[in-house]
Amino acid sequence: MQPPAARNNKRLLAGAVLALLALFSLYCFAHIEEWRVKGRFKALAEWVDKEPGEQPMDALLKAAGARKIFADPCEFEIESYKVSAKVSLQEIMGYAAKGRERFSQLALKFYDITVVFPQKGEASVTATARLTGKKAGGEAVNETHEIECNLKKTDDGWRFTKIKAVEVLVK
Amino acid sequence: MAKSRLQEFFFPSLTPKFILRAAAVALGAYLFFGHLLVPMFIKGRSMEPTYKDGGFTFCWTMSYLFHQPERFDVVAVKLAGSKVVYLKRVVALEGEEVEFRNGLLLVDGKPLDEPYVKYRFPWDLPPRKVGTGCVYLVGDNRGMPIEEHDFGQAPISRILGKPVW
Repeated sequence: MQPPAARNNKRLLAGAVLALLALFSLYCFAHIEEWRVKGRFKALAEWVDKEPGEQPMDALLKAAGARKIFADPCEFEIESYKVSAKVSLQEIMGYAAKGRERFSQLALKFYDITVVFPQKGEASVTATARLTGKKAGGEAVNETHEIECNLKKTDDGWRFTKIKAVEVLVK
Repeated sequence: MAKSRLQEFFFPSLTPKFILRAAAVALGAYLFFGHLLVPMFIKGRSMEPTYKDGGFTFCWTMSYLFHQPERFDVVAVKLAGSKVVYLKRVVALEGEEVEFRNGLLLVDGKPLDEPYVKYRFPWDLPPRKVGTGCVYLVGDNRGMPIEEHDFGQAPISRILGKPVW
């Protein structure tokens, strides 16, 4: 049989472990929506990524995956390209399928993602997006932009409602 | 048997004192290299030939703690955070007028002597005034069409620091 001091130590240790687990669960619970929103950025990056030699069927399937990422419609605002429009899901899929043909390789990565929830079911996110790859003609693509995005929560998860490129350097 | 000094250096005993010391060193390194002297890998050609694609440097974030950026300073500009930054050169300050005429940079109507520029495309940009609290930033590599080069004015508050070399 163990001495009472050793039993007390074990109880203390078990209590400390339980308290840590409870704190960790609380932390996870408090951040679960933030992680879900960040997960959408991972999905968006995977949707854009293109490996060399992508088959036309794969490109079409990828383009169709837009319905899992964007709301219908989704607003795009990229001042440096003079783009400002609300685009329907069908149009996004069409543009994506055509756009992919112009590149032989693409990789999109996000950095410094900050999520805030202005109200329930809505998220505002700022991040840095970096697009690298090669055009079909072989020229390198290297674009970096700060972006502001709005997302809304639907029954199927978070969807992008607006993507805006912030002009950090104003010509 | 007691460990030799060499053995103790490479294979230290995990005593509470050692763990505390290791934790302090790790925390110090995180604070120093995460916030003060930030490592930077250079990707892109916009600052060539001064900074080459694939190069490496550190950004000293305390550079502008007591003074404002000066003309010809190379600075790191924050985007959404500090993990990805633009590396550009300050060419004009608040209130000055900037213009490109046939590849030549004019500040307040006078051509700026830029010995660091080795490649020039005939850029043309109508005159514009640098806004309050802003500086005008351009990369050293002007050997590309103007549309392909990210440059322009940015608030001084976006400047993260200065590369140390």
